[in-house]
Parts: sequence; structure tokens; C-alpha cells
Amino acid sequence: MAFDSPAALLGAIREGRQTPAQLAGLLNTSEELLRSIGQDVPNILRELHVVHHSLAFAFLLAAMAGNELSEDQERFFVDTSRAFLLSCDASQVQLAPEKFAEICRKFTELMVAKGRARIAIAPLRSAVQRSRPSPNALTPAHPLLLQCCLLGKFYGLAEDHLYPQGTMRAQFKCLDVVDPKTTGLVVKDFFLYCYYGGMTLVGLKRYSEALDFFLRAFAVPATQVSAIVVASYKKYLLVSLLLHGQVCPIPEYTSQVVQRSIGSWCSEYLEVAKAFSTYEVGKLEQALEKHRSVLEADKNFGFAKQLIPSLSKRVIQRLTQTYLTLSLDDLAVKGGVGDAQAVLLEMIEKGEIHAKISQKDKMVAFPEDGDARVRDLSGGIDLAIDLGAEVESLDESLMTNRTFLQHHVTS
Amino acid sequence: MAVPSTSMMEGSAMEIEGAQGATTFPHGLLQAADVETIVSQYTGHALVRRIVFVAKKAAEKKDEQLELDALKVCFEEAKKSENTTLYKEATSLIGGRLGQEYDPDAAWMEQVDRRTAQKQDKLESELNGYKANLIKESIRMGHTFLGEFFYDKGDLQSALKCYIRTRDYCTTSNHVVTMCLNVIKVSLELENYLHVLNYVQKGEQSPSVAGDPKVADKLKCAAGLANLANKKYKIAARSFLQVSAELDDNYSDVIAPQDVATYGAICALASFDRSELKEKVIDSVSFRKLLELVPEVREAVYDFYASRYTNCLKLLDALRAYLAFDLHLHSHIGELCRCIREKAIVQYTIPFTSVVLRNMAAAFNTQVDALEREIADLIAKGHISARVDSHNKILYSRGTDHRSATFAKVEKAGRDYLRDSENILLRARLLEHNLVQTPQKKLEPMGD
Amino acid sequence: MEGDYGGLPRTLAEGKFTEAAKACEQMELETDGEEGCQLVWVYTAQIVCYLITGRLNEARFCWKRVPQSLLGDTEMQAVQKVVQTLWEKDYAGFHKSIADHPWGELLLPLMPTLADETRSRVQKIVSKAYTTISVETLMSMLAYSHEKVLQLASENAWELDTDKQMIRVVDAAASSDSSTRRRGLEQLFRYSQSV
Repeated sequence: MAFDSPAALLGAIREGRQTPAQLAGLLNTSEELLRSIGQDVPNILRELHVVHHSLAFAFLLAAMAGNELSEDQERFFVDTSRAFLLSCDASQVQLAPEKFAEICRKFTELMVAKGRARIAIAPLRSAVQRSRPSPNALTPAHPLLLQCCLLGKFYGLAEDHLYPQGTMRAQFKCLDVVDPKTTGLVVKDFFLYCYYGGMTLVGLKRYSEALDFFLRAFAVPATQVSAIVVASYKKYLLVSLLLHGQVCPIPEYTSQVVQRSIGSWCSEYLEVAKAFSTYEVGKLEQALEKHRSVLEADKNFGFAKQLIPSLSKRVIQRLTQTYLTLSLDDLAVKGGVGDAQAVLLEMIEKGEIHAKISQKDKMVAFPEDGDARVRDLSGGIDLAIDLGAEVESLDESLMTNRTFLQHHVTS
Repeated sequence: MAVPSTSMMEGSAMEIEGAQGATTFPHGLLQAADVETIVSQYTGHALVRRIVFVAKKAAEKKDEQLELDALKVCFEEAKKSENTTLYKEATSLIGGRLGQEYDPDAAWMEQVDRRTAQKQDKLESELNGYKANLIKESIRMGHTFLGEFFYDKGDLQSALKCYIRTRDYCTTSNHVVTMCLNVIKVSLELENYLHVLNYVQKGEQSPSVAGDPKVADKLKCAAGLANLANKKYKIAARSFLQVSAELDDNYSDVIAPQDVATYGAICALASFDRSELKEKVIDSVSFRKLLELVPEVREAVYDFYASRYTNCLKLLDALRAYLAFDLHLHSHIGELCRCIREKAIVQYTIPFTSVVLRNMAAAFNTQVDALEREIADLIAKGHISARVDSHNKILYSRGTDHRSATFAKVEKAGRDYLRDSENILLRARLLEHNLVQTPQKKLEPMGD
Repeated sequence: MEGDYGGLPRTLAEGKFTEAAKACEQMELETDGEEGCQLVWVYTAQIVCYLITGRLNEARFCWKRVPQSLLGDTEMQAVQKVVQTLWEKDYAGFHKSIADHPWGELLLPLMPTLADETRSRVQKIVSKAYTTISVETLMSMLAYSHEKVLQLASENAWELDTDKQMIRVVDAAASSDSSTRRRGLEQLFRYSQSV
């Protein structure tokens, strides 16, 4: 029961006799017509109201997005989409999530290409708010918003859209992945959410959280290694070195094909990691110079350079294992740093080292500190015990889900 | 002539004032080897090899007297055994320094070579005869004789081949043992230690060995030498320590009992923990007898066990000059002494909750700063569980309270568990919604 | 003043620095045109708000967003200097750069708050990091006079050395609580049973 002509389409929309759901159904079956309209879309849209006819806007703009556009058409598309994203009716657009996603993608693509990422932020933020079926659901608009925030250097704003809302932010949770039929999410969106999320947190120097985001890319089931997983691993490796001084292994639940072959895509990075593990700053510097061009091409060189002072700090940290007290001069020599006091101060401030400086004796003391840890443990372990139960229950429900079983349990 | 070497006792002059109660050592704490001793302890190829080594080492150290003494013996052995290759080597090394008597005699060499060639022909034709007659035992003996012939001549590769060929003709376990011992002897000289260890194992599996302690000893000695050469000091020590006190000169063409004692004891000191040292060295009646042959080594061992580290290290340092001339030990003595010093430092600190570094430095005859560096290194390697109060120069034991380390581990484990659980849930959800990366998707370029 | 800066002065006066920063951010987002917002105060006020709330990273990023055309502005340059001193942990330089510049009417009332907040942060670091510290060092880190430093010491019950040059710092937060320790160990025991 599709529409057979643009006029019929326009007429029906303006009459407004169908419910949004019915209209959605009709529009869904009118793919061919929509595709053929092409040039006429601006004319039709001018006759419609962006809020009242949000659903129609969604379909028509999406149809436009799928075509090659002239310069004029691009301008129209950008301006219209912007207004649309800023003001559309949430209940209507949620009936056509895939179309909505197409619009967001094309809009972002054009804005970024023209160097106007900052201007795309507000409309995309609005898109996120209006298109999500639940307050913490992940939508295709999220990674696009994150991308523009990163390009425009609005890291704080990006961070606002990484985590579920609520006062008790549970650890290690990210936005919810709900039924993609309600969000139009595809696997690439999830990958990019994780990747841009990680980059945002790296910029904000919250490395532990950044690592968790990059790690999520490995949770994605895969039968093939994708470029973005490789890029995620490279960042994961560098951040891991910075944070933990070593590359933590990829989790066991990562798909086999990724586990087995990821190394072959980033041999230069593995060499850098190896140089780092020698705890000799000179060797690390050499490795970074050797692979400079690859790192620069991946836009990772700037970050990788931070590994050098990081290694110096680790050399100093290691000294706390051997010494109870050490003169500041000796510390400077052993740690290979010029101003030992300044480096120590920074490390103490960031909680990277437990030390006390005595200016009088010109030395530093490294006391033990057992109690602080006890305070921190309780919350975490309680959470872990609860979560363990959730995992077990989910396992049961999946085992009875027919679709899941059909796809994933091979006989 | 004083030998400048990296002394185990840093910073001290090599004053050997016989430490209290020390007896005079049979070698008189020589700075070098003693040719007469070598002649008395070894025979055959062991004698020759060692003497040649001593000669070359003496030349390095510019000790001409020692060098020429050694070369004289070498020359005489070569003449006795009619080994023209060795003769040539000896005379060239002497280089005319000992007068005409020790100059190469070409006529004699030619004579010997002719005789040797004749003998070889004879043996080979006899062997062929045996082969034609298909008498196993004769063939075996034929190969063996040929092997011995080549061995005496100094052609070790051919000797080895012959001995190995006897394998197919061994009919009793004794035959097998003989073959093994022959192969082992040649392989040791060829420094093919893999072979040595293989054939030791073969030999030990043979039933006749159990009843023949002499053979068992030989096999253990061979195993010890091979492991020593491979730097497997602990295994070498264990092998040597199983050699009985009745070794005497049964294996004098390979090794002397003094060597077994020395190598075994030093390797044990460098690699055993206290309990194994007590069990296998201190409390071993048979090894104690062997140790009596090398009283200074024995004293070093007992000093170490009794925590008299200063004395022990002094003794070992004094022995180094002598052991530098030892064919098998010279390339290992540095590392072994380093290990022993490290062990001494570690064991010194064990009974104390705190150690004043100044006192300890005196005991180890070094400066406080140098000692602090050594100790820091050992802590970093995990051999000492303590920390240095560099400001006051005191070492504080860490004790058995590893609370904070345990807390840190538990904390991390909890965090990782939490994170992994969340990610597994996430993965399940992605699967549930069929959000999977499949090959149909192109490798998209990244837009940063 | 109100009209020139939207509702910002009121928000700032109420001490709602995070809210103020967000408002400035919104203004950036709403500016059409590629060059970005051309109002200096949108950036300078935002940066100062971030610094007051200890968000140095976001201050840096805001600084990176400043359009080329505004970089020459004197107040902008003064703010940049403040950010740089904090980034390099040059606390003496920080206090100097605040005191030296003649701030405009919007930012002037914020400066005392910024100085105080930074001071209290530095003080926390000192008590965490030092067992003894010279009076001279403290003076430069907090931009306090000799008397003020001595006053601070006596307020915190920090001992002064006999030659009146060194101060013995006491870290209140780190005093160990043995009951916490015991409780903690009991909890751990419970958990080990459930695993």
C-alpha cells in the first residue's frame, strides 16, 4: 500500500489522518518512490512543518542523504538537517531510527569535511537526546557527537555523553546497547563510541577509564579483524604502558581471529613496548625514533612521546622497592632526572608514589602504606559479588533465547 | 708475579696472612700451576691437554719459566706416545728456546708416520676380514682397536666414528658400557657435551653399571664436566657429589679426584641453598674424604657454612690465581665466585632485622657505597627481602608482613573481575542483537 | 555590567563556577561561522572557572579553542600566562601573574577565589609530600609573607625548627586508624569465604 506519487505522499502527510506508526509503515514500503524523488525533496519539505511532520522529514532527508548532492543541495541539506536535529519531535523520529541515523551520518560527514565540526555539536547533542529510546541507550548519533567534540576540542562536553546518567555511577558500565531496531545502531557505531570515548578520556588524562573504553572494542564479537580494532589496540597498548608500565594481555573473551592476528598489524608498537620493558630510557627513545613515521601516520607520536617521562617515573617508583630512604642527589642520579624534587612532587600529587621529602636532610623517605588500601577495597568487592550473580542469570536467559541459540551455538 | 684480577675482596690488597688457624696449603697458595703436580695426577690425554693449556696460559701471563717447563713435559709425552701432531705442536710452541734437544726431528717424525700408516692399514684390513666373516664380536673389537688407534694418534673425529660404529655389534651390557665410556672420553675432548650427556644416560641405563662402582663414578664425572661446561652449575655439583671417595686414579686420563672435590665444592657453594649444602656436602661422608685432598677448598666450604664469610671469600680469592690455570674451571671461576659472593651477602643479612652497612662492608672488605650498590642490585633481583635506608646507611629487613602487596593484589583482582564481568555481559548483549563484525564490512578508513 | 555578559556575573557571584563555564561553552557552540565565538570573555571567564574548580585539563582545551583573532588581547594573554604557570607548577609565578595584571571588571572579583583555591590545593600537596620544608620554599609556593607562613604553621600545629628555617609538617589525613584496619581485615575475611 505504498505511495505512488510525490503528490500522494505530500497529500497524505498534510492530511495527517494516519497515526505516526501507520505513516511509518507506509513510508517504509515506499522506498522506491522516495529514492526517485531526489530533486523534489526541498520542494516537498518546504510544504511541511519540521516538528509536526518530523517523521516525514526523517524519511525525506534520509532519501536525500543517500544520493549524490550538488553544492546547493548540500547547503540545503545541512541547513535543513541542522534545524531538524535541533527541533524534531522525539516520538516521531524514534519510529524511524535507521533513517534518522543516516541523516546524522551524512550531516556530520558534510560538516566535518567543511571544517565546521564545532557547529555540528549542538545539533548532534540534540539528536542524541531526541533519538534515544531510553535515557542511557547508545545511539548512532553518539559517536558522531563525540567525533565533533574531539575535533572542536570540547573534551568536557564529550565526557558528558560517555557514561550512563545517575548519581551512583557503577564502575565499568558504559551506555546501554539496546535492541538496534529501536536505535538503528550498527557494529561500527559501537566501535567508534569506544574508540572516541577512549580518546576523550586520554585527552582528559583519565587513563584508567580510557583503557576500559579501548578494551571494550575487544568485547565485540568478530569474525574478521577490522581497522578500528587495530587502531583501538594501538591506543590500548600505549595507554597501558603509560598507566601500568606493561601491556596487559587481551582478555580471553576476545574473538579468536582478533587474538591471533592483532600482533601482526602493529609490530612497531610491540617493539616500542619491548623497549619500554627494559626500563632503560635510552632504549625507549631509540625505539620511538625508529618508528616515528608509523607513529606519526597513526597520529600517536605525540602521545607516545609521553612514555619517556613516564618511564623515568617508573624507574623512580621501582626505587621505592629497594630503598626506605634516599638522598635527593642519589635519586636524581638513579632516576636520570634533573630536578628530583619537582618530579617527586608531581608524582606525590598524582598519587603515583608514596614519598615524603625532607628538605632539612635533603632526602626522601618511602614509607609503607597498608591502611589506605583497606578503605578502598570494600566497595569494589561488594559490587563484584553482585555482578557475578548478574552474569550467571544472564547466561541462563541467553541459553533459552532461541535467536541467540540459532546464531551462535553450533552443533 | 702478582696477578691483577677482579678480586672478590674489593679494595683490599692481596695479603694472604694465613687466616687464623689456616694450615699450609699443599700448593703453597701458588699464583700459578705446578707442573709436577699435574704430572703426578694425570695420565694420557688429560695430562697432555692440561699441560698444553698451562703452557699457553703461562705464555699469556709472560711466565716463561712455567711455560717452558710445561712444554718440556708436552714434548716428552708426544715422543712417548708417538703422536706426531702433538710433537709438531710442542716443538713449534717451544720455538727453539730449549736448545737442540727439543727441536723438531723430521727424520723421527717420518719414521713414526710410516709406522703409524702401516699399523692403520693392518687394522683396517683385519677389520674388513672380520666384516667378511660376519663375527659380531670380532667386528666390534676391530672397530674398537681402530678407535683406540686413532685416539692415540690424536685423530679424535675418526676415533669417535669408530667407537660409535661398535654400537651395532654390542651383544652384552658390558659391551655397551665400554662403548659409552669410549665415546664419552672422546666427546669430552672434542667438547661435544651433548654427546657426552647422551652417552652418560645410555651408560647409566645399562644394568651392569649398578654393580660396578668404578664405571658409575666415571659416568658421574663425565656428566659433571659436561654440565660444568654448559654452565649448569647446580647439576654439575650434584653429579660431582655423587662420585665415590674411591675414585683415585681410575679415571686419571680424564679427571683427578682433586678436581672432583674442587669443582663439586665450588659449584655447590655457588648454586645450592643452605639445606642442600648441608645434606650433600657438609654431611656427606664420602665427599668429605674427597675434600681432604683439597684442604683450602674444604676450609672455604666450612667457612661459608659457618657464616665466616670474610675468611671464605679471602680463600676463594686466593685460589683464583691457581684456578685460572685449570683447564675446565678457568672460564667459570669468575662467575662462580660472583655467585658465591652474592650468596654470602644474602645469607649475611638473613638473621637480622637491621644491618649497619658500615659493619657489613668491613666484613666483605669493601666500601659502604659499593656495598649499598651491590645490595640494591640484589634487592631489585628479589634475592634479598629488605630495603635500604640510604640516609642512615642501614638495611632493614622487610619481614614476612606482605600486607600491602596482598591488598594490592586483591584490589586488582577484584577490579579485573568486575571489569571482565561487565565486558562479558556486554559481549553477550552484542551477540544477542547480532552486532558482530563480519567480513562483509569493508576496512573503513579512520577519520580522526 | 549585567547586559554585556548575559547572566554570567550573577552566576559567578553566586560561586556557581561549573554552571558559568557551561554557559560560556554553550555560547561557543551557538556561534555560527567557522572562526568561532569572537567574545574574549567567553573564553577567559570559562578558563578561570575551570581553574577555580581544579580542572586544569579543560582549561587547557578551552585555551586551544581560542580563535587566532583573539590571541592578541591583553587579558587573554594574561589568562594564558596563569594557565601556563599552573601547568608548570610554578606556584610563585602563578601568584605573581594574578597580582600583576590589571583585570577587567568581569574577572577581577574572581581572582581572590582563584588564588585561595589554588593555595589550599598546594597546601594539601605540601602536607602530603613533605616531612620537613624550608620556610623560604613555603613562602614562594603560597606567595605568603614570612609572617603568614609562620601563622599557617601554628594554625596547623606544624613545628618550627630552632633556627626558624625549617618546618616539620604533619599530615592530618594520613594518621592511621587502627579500628579501620581491624574492620577492614574482618571484611576481607568475610569475602574470602564467599569466593
